Amino acid sequence: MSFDAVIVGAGHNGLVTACYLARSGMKVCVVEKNDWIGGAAVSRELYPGFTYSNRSYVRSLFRPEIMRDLELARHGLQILPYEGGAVFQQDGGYLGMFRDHDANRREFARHSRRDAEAYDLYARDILRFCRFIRPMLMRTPPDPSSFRPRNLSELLWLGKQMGALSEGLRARMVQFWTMSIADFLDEYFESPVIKGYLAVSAIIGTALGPMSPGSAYVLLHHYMGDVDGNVGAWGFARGGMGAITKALTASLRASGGEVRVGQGVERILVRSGRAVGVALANGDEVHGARVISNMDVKRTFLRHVEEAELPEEFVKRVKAFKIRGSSGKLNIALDSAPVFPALPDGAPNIKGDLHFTDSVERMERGYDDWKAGQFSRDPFQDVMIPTMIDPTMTPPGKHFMSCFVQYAPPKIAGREWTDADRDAFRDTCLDQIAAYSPGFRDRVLHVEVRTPRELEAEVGLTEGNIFQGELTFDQLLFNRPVPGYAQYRSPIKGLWMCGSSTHPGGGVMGAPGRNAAAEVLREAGRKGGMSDAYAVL
Amino acid sequence: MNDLTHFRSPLMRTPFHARTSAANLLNRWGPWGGYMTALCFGDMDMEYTAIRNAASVYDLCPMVKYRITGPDAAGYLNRLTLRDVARLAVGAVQYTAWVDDAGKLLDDGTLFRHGPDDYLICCQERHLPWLLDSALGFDVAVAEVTEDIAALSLQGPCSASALGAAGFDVSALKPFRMMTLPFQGGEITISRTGFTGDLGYELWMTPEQALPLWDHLFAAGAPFGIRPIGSDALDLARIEAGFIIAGTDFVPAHHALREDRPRSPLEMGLGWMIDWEKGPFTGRRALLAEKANKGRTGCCWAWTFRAMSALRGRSSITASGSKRGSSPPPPGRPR
Amino acid sequence: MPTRSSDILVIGGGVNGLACAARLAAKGRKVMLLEAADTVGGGAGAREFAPGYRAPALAHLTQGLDPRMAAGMDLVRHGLEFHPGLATTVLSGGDPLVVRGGTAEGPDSSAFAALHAKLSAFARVLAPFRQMTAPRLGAGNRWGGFLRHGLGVRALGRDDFRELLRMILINVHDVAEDELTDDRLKGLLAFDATLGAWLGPRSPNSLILYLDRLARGVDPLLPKGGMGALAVALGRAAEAAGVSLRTGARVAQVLVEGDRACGVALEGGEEVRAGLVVSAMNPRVTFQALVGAQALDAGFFKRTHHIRSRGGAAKLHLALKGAPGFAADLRSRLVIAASHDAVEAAFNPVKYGEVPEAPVMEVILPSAHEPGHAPEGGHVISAIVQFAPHAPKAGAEAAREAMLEASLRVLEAQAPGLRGLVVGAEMLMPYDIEDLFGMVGGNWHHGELAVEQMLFNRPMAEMAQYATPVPGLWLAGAGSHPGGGINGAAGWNAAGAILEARA
Repeated sequence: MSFDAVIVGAGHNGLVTACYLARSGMKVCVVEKNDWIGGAAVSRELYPGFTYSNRSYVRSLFRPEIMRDLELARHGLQILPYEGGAVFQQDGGYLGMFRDHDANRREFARHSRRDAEAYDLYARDILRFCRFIRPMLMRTPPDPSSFRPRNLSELLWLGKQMGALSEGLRARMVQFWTMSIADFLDEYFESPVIKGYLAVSAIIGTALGPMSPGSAYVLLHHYMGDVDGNVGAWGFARGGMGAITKALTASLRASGGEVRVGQGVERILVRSGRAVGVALANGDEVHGARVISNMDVKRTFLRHVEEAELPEEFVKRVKAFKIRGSSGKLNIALDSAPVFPALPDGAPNIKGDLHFTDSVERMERGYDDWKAGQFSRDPFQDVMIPTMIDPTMTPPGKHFMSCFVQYAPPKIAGREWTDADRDAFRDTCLDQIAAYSPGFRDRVLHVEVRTPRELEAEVGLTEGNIFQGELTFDQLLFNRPVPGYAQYRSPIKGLWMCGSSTHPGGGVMGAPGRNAAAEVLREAGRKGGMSDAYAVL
Repeated sequence: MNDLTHFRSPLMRTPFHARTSAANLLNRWGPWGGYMTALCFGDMDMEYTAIRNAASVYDLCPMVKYRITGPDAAGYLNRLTLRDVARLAVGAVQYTAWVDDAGKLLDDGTLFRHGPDDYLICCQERHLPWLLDSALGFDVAVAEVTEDIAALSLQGPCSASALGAAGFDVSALKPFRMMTLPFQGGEITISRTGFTGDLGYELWMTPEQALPLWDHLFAAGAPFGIRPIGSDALDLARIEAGFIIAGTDFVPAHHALREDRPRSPLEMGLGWMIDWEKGPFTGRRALLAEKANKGRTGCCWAWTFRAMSALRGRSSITASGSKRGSSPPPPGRPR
Repeated sequence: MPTRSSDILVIGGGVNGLACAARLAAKGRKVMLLEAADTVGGGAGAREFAPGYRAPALAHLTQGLDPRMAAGMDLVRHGLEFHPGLATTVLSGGDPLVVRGGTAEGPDSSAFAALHAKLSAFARVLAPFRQMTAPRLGAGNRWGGFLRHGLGVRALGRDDFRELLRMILINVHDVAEDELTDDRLKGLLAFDATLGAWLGPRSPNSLILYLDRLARGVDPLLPKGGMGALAVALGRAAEAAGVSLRTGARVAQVLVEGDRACGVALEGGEEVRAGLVVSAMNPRVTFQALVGAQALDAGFFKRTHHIRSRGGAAKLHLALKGAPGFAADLRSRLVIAASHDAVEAAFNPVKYGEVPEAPVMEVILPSAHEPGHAPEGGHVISAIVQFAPHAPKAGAEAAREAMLEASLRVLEAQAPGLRGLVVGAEMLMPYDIEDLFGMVGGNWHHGELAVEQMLFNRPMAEMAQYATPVPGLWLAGAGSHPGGGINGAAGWNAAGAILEARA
């Protein structure tokens, strides 16, 4: 049989695209190489009784439009906002974050009275930038080199958006997009630990340091999520991140879509310049009127498409696409709840993200290690204990801890990671936690370590880059993934892209998948039950 | 480090909490500036009546207070605020406002001059970054003293009598003046200011003096019908009097998410307080340009207040926007 | 008491101040230029740092003068001559590599030529933006010139236009990796892009600095007689245009009366009145030290503190008693940078206020080109050494010493025996440069030349078109668009804006 669309990779973006297409009445098949569904957003049981949300770890950015359109709540998705967080300081102190504005102000004031109030100014400015950029994430980027009416009208729309701002805000925004988060924070704050906490969102998942120009924009990227309408608020999916892909799969099946697991795509079949389906590893072929790849752009075109089918310049650009991994992950099963003596008894902060990097400088030094081809000796870790909020993931009294670690290079000083490297990496991370949590190592039942090597091997994230391509201007908007091919189409007719390598990029937000579906539907002249992306905060 | 309790009591309690909570029959509280504040103690109508006919006591502690000291204090405040601070004598109080570079209101508040180089700003919103930024290039010290000063607002036609009965002779105290009076071996400051349009005083003391003073005042004031009031009753009175509140009647410029929300003093009917001749101050160029363009001075709020003021004929702001009368608008506003 | 009155006062006799003053005077305005030092020239002056040894005080090359200024001031007539454009020799662990214009030796010869051609094409279409007042992002913009230059960019053709949009904010490290294989060329590209900047080659937005450099000129130029000769020619030309030069006049304050700048007070109390005051000084110095907070809005005044102005370059002067043994033509520009990673590694510690182990540097020997810089047989080394901390944690003295030692180590490796030739040494750290030239943070652009401080954000959005919020006060220095580097475009543009506004 032949499908209307074959989607390669059951990551969240692939599933989002599939859902929209299926809802428009298309016959859709999603092909997944692993035995499980969900790409990076999965939950698996790796230790008896423990559900591991073992790659991506927060539903920071999942677009609410998509949750509504695809009825994910009806299909079982529940988002739990989290309650705060803390940065542990080297001197034994801590900085706590609270959801309550006044409590948070008083906590910040403990470190700097000025910063406690400056935080409101900072939040206002960031929100203003978010309000501008959010509508752009849910649109296909215009091609500024094209004079086609649609591109011109999109550019005009962009101009109108800009026109709604004051001259000062425009200038400020251009500045914000291009500057480093370290410099930006210096304009608002004086406390090193507050700056260290706020800089986090600017580096997560990127191959940039907090002092790299352009890192401020990345922060915006992470603040785009909206749990309960709080910009910048992140949340957990109940049951782990896999709950999102599970709900997407349920939604897809309810619309008549199909998912085939366990067989990876060997080759994308191209006949007379047109994609007509895929050949699987076991030799089976799945045919479709169009093929939509959820894989990153390098994997799609350098491994699964004959180079001869592609323009030379395109191949050159894909080869040069920057997709350097910068992060690793530890998933830890704990026998009992870890204690952090710095925190007051009963403090809710332990239910949020926990950091041990109390200054921008330490973060940047971690990046220097990465540049030299080493994992950070003093890494930045974003530690979360989702079982503090969602005890259903483990047996009673036990806990699951997820540690997102930066920086970890795709290669160690130019060579592949070895098991010894991986163990050293693990110990570095565990030691850092143990320094703030006595008895921590004794509670550890099992540790799953994911260096960029494992992320690439298992999830297919090239070089272990969680965003399927770095978020720098040369790879954003109309430049993502390749100039001239930013509108989800590839040089091959009928072959589309819907992964995080495309605009607006990575993070679990589903926007690339939705935008790609919109383009496919537009070309096919169908409606997909897609609500207007809303732009109002 | 382990005694931090923000999460146990997200809202702080004022030094009067022991008394206000005992008196709060309805247990109706709301947040104000990070503090618990009584919205209504028992009967809002009777609380309002106390303002207009007897004596009312309102807990002012959550008002944000900044102390400005140093040789450049007057110059600093002149550049910060709209009015001419040089005209403010020691022992006097000024109702004033300040704006950002674009001439948009950040807040209004009262400015107390305690000494030649010693001022206190009392306002609704928190402004530490702005006040510190404004201090660049000036030899001044800016410190937030909100928690160091407890304050009560005593308002109503019997307020002077109640104070007299308590041993505080304020008969010579003119509007917008303050005086220091002895109290149980220490001192308190009383200013003739308020936020109701009625006769009224504000009492400033240390947190330690708070409860003794409360008890003393209520004992002495009983014959005058003194009673504690909540923010709901005060809101009625201040709207009648035509007084505005940052965050309610206008969006302070530093909190406005939408750029078109902030309002200029011209739009809010506060144009009368701008001293164009005193020399440069922050926002002057923008306000001059607005005046030259005739601006949007017909903003609905300004009109509302002007019309209301004109009708009632007792407020400080008339339809022509000029200042008049002996009970001009002293703020010290709730929520 | 006010003494003399002048139509226009220009503060600061550096290249931009002179250019601005000369252009205004040539248009018939009565102009007086006030310079604190005894000679004009600013960063383009000369300095006797050891008995008998003279070195360029700060800048030791120009990447090309603004052609409008050079022609308008007729600098040739006033005695300015250049040596032929300098070739560059890259010194690293391996063989030296000579680069001249777009031509490089070695295995990457053709790749470098192609890259150079591509980047030069980009630079060519961006160059006109240097010669206009920065556009405004709002009402009152003069769209004409901006659109014309924009169309010039689009005229690159679709593919090159796309490529420019991709590369405009890219980091130079990635470009080097993508296009080149020879570490020496990668190092040179990375070095030239980050010269005078406060970022490393891995920092996004670094390639645009290389494009800006190419827009000024390809090969660096050395004036005959040294940089001091350029200062002399500029001064003469300004005077010939009718500018009244007053040296030894340090401005203490810009006078503002009735919300208008009306003159300056000099150190010592003398007041000089004028209809217009043009500051070619650092914008931070202009507002924080000369105008003062009282006359400025608080938000604006605070934002002047946000003008980032970290200098990452130190200046090394060595007096040698003989010729150093570099494996290169001593008349070329020597760049010591083993690779792009070496440049990055030299930047890393500076982020934390520390001194790098192995700095990278650009070395010029003025004495190899002509006599007069050193005693007979001796040589002068003038080197820009990167990167150096502007606010070292270890303290000014210790950092200077460490920087000198690290630099000598690097030089000794390239010219064995060099240490034995040294009879005098001077290391000017960024904070020394700040003290000598009034450059905040020692940044020679008077404000970092970085994308977030370019065009309509240079030095701040409120005054990116040379006019400031204080009526009657204008900016004309390197802190304004398009930045510094012994070029004169900022001053020339500022004069144009003043004339156009009929201010």
